[in-house]
Amino acid sequence: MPKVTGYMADELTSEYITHGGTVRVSGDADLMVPLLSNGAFQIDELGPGSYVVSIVDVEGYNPINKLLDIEEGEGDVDLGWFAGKALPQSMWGVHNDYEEA
Amino acid sequence: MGRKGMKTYYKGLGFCGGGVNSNTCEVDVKDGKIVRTRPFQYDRCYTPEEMNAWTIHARGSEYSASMKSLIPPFSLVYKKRAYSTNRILYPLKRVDWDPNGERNPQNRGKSKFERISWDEALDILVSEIRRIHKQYGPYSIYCQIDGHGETKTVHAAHGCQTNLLDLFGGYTYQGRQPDSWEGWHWGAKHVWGQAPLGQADQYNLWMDVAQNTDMLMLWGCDMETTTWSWEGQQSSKLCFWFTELGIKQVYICPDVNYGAACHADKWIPVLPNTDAALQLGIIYTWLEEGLWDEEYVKTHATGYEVFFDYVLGKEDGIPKTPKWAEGKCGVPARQIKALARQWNKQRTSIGHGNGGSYIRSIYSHEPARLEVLAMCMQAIGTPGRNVMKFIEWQMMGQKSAMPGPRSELIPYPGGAYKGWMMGFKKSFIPKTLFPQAVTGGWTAENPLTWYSFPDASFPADQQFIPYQYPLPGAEPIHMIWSDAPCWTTCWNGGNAAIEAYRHPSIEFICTEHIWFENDCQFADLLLPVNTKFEEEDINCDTASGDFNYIVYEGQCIEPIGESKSDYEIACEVAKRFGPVIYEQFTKGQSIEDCIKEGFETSGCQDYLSYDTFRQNEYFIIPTAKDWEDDPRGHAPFAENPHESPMQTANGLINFYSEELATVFPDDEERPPYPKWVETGINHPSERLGTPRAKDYPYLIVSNHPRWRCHAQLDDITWLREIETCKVQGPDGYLYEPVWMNPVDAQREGVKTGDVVKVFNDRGWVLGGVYVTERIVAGSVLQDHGARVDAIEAGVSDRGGANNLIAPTATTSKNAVGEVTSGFLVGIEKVDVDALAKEYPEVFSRVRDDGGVLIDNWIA
Amino acid sequence: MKVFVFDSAKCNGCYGCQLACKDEHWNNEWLPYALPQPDTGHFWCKMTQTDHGQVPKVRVEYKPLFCNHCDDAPCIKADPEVSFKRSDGLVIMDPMKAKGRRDLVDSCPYGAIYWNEELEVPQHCTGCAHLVDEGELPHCVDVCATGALRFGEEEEFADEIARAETVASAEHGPRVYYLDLPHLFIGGEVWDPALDEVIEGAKITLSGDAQAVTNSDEFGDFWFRKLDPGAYTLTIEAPGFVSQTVDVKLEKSLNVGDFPLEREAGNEVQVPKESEAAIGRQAPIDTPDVQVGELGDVKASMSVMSQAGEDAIFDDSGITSK
Repeated sequence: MPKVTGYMADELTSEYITHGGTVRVSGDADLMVPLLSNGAFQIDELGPGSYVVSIVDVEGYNPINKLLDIEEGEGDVDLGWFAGKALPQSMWGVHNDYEEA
Repeated sequence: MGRKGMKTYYKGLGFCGGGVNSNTCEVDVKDGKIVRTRPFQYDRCYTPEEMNAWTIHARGSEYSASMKSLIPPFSLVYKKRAYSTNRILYPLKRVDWDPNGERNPQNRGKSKFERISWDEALDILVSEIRRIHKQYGPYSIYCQIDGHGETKTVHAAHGCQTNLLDLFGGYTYQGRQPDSWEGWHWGAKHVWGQAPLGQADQYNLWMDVAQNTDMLMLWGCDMETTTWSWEGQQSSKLCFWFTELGIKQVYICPDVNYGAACHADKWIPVLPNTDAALQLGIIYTWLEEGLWDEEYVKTHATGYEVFFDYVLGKEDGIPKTPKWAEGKCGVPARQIKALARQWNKQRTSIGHGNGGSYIRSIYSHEPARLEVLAMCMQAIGTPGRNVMKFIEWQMMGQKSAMPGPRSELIPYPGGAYKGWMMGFKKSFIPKTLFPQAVTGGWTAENPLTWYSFPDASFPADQQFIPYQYPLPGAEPIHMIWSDAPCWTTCWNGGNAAIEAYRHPSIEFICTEHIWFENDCQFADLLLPVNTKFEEEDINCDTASGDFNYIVYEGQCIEPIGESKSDYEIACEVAKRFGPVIYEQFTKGQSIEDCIKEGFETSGCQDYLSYDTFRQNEYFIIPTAKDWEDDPRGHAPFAENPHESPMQTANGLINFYSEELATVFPDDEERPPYPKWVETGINHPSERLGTPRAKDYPYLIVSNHPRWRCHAQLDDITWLREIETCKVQGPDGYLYEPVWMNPVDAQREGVKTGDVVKVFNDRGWVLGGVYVTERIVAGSVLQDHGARVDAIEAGVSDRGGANNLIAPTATTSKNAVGEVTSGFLVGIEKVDVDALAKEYPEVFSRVRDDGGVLIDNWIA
Repeated sequence: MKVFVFDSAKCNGCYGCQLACKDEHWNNEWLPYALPQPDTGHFWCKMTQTDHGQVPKVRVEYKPLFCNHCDDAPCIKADPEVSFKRSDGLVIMDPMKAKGRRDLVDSCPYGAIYWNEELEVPQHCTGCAHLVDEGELPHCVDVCATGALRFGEEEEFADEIARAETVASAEHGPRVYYLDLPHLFIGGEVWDPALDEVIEGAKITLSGDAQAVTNSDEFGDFWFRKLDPGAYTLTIEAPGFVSQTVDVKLEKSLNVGDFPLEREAGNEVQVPKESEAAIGRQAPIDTPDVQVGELGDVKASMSVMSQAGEDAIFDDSGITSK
């Protein structure tokens, strides 16, 4: 059965997320693995089906997901980079810089 | 009878969007029908004392806060949009688009649509997203979600789907640049910073102008038009007061715009986009006659010596005399000299309203920069000498963007806002480059490149950063998801965009919208959206000028047809990705929960409880007790530039930009200091006197429209009955007016009511002639935003959407702003009967008093 | 007695009054006063606009027209069974009794009555009697943001009514009053071609069907406002300059143009003309200005472009190098 791998890094800075989180699979299966301290994760065996792979519980970041469809006979899948989006500081984006005291 | 027995709802009917409300009204509803729309009475639940209602005293007269909202006509007629005969009532799919077979992109705009169920529509959308993600990656979905629209918070009109796509790694963002004030962003920011807008500080300017200004120059400014969508009629009332106070109002623009029509003491007609020449002629006069504040300039600015040399002709041998300027801008030299002297002698402020050819044309960074330099030479910030804006008050939550009395709080229901969030997006295409990006065959190895993430709010140094599309390692876009389908009639060169919509690389276009208009005809899947009358929401109105307030907006009527809100659609899509995604997206909140969170994060929670708020349905934030003590405009900078510096490296006004000189040393279109730029690499022939002007001898003024908000409201029957809104042609069709001076009308052999082609090498649009002295000869005027009624999509249009033929080239090579006014066109009388014979299907499209009907596109 | 008072000096031409009337009456029934108004074609409040003047002296006049709610209404005279004047002054045409009475449309000499084809009934402004009954304002008045349009008891407006005009004839006793109507203007500019400067402080005397005196301002501009059609003479005088006189037959507002004054003997000046090279490009349009027709007895020069220089050249060599 295919192995699924991937990693999480900040979308803008490309820095790996190393302070941990949880990787959750939902859809045709329901399981969890940890986000490792090198920013990567590995799901040892995942059969054919339609899934959502979510990286959640990462401090300072919104959840980040990828769609995963595994066909019959497909090999290992590397989902690659989960581009983490930092939680916005204000609704105006950058404009907090310009707010007067 | 009357108002008794009716339920009254508060609704903000402005069009800024982005959760920034305006034009709050009282909507009376009975038996499920909207009966009428009225001004919102502030004092139903609160007294003037509680509001700390303000009064400005000036010259023995007074101007006070209104006790009801000053709603514009747009609000009165907006219920017609809910009841429009062009509503998209149910999901539609293009008949010859098959996601499992032939997609026929070349037929977009030609083929009709068939009704499908929501289930089928969502199935298609979700499976296409999955396919695109798997085959290409998330950046291959391009989101057209920017711009103005109904001001909704929870049911945000733009970008709800982007928060969902962000959960999957993102999307490619259609990068909007300021579409009403280009020059301030691309030019003025290099002179004095002033991010986020690049425009002047507004603190207490109503008071400063009223008390101290002798002459107010309304430069390319129409506070009777664009302001209607943003704040209502506060500015109208204000300008009538300025007249009472004896402040001379001088309008400098090619047309007697709607402000000049009723407020102008003097009209100085200037050819479109030649203001830079006029400014240089004025500055020359000051230098020659010593009519400038040398001491101020020496202490508040740098880099002026080389600029003065340029003005005096020492650089190019052409002194920028009033006579020289007259040849460019059409204002007689004697008037230029008189204006220059009065600007110096009288305490002079400038007023702006955005839109128009002053700031939305080629090289718009030049007049914007020149204006700042000119105001500097006349000591900006000293009493009566500032630059006032009639629009966008408190924009982006800025106290410095409020010319009226300051409120205690600028509220914003951030916790409830579900739409697109401002800020940098990693993968983006500047909106102005959209057609090129699609049709250019770009790849990550051979990308389209440009400078700047063009968001309006960023500081000047953002403009020095190069970007590319596609991103390294990314695929180009293959899907477009739009909730703002009006690129064709609103942006720079809609005919080129049509080519992009039909490009084979675009495999799927999903558009969600309320009405079948403009870009909707190029979609593959259309999803019906409802108006804010059909939704429950919460909103903060910070634009009226009287007070800031928060309102609960109850649902007035049931959704029409099968329409849903944009947020509801995004929720439905999220649902189909499973409960985990749905939970992430909605955070487990109901609409009611969202509304409550909006209140609790607005700042208003410090004043009253949510329960009280829901009981009163609104709260007026008091005016700050000490508002009168706030400094006026740039007074702090004027008094002490070291303590109150500009946002530049040296804290001063930079006549000469070191940064521009360093990063773009060969840029002759946007040089280190502003100049008259006749032509350049991006616009080799877009002025009178250049080769193309032989075939296209007029400059078109394409203002923000009087009877629309951009592309909105074109089908409102009551507006279309107004003579400056539509001109009835000989065939009974209501054409978009083309104003022509009697001189030009005579030359072209046309009279009011004739139909003409407005054309250039990018295509042609029709218009109905309106002969008037309100437009200067050499120029024609046709408002922007008319609904596209394509004759040959990509080539010709009956509706008068002149953005279709605007230049696709941006402001200048290194500035990706749009050029949508002040460009060259030709005028030619047409025989509509002959055209009807040539295009029988088009000219016999079914229509009612609101224009062509959606029925024409339903199979 | 209720009256409408319209102040032209405060009207910005937003058409809000015209649109409010549609908002109030389209698709809404207000019996016993009014059946619904059709979607288009009726203007129970009809905003009108008139462009005044010629480039660069142009203004727009906005004037809304209503049912005048006349004291001695011709429509009531035509059939007092159908139309009546309320005690508060509003004139109502009973929609039930008026059914089929197309003839009543012409009973109003001011065109304030419209025929509703679908419902087969004549209709006009009711003063929003249904709202007034509840102590509210007519919708058009309520939405007027500038305060140009007001409504209330005659006594409240006594001073203003004393100086107001009416659109309807006094014989009918109209109750809609207009303040500060602009009528017509004559405007012009005075300048010195020898120095290419405006002349401030020139004395311009208006005589003929009205008398007035004014001075040219800091831009050389002068205006005579609130004139009626007629025959006038303008005399332009400035010390050191030869006076000019011009006769004006005024039918519409008129920009009489600019007056280049000749210097008197002893007041001449010598000014070197700017060289071609210094000026650079000449007037940028391909044909020089034309003078459009005659307006009254005066040829008005139509555009500022006429000052662009003797020989406006269209140079098709293309780009001017810096």
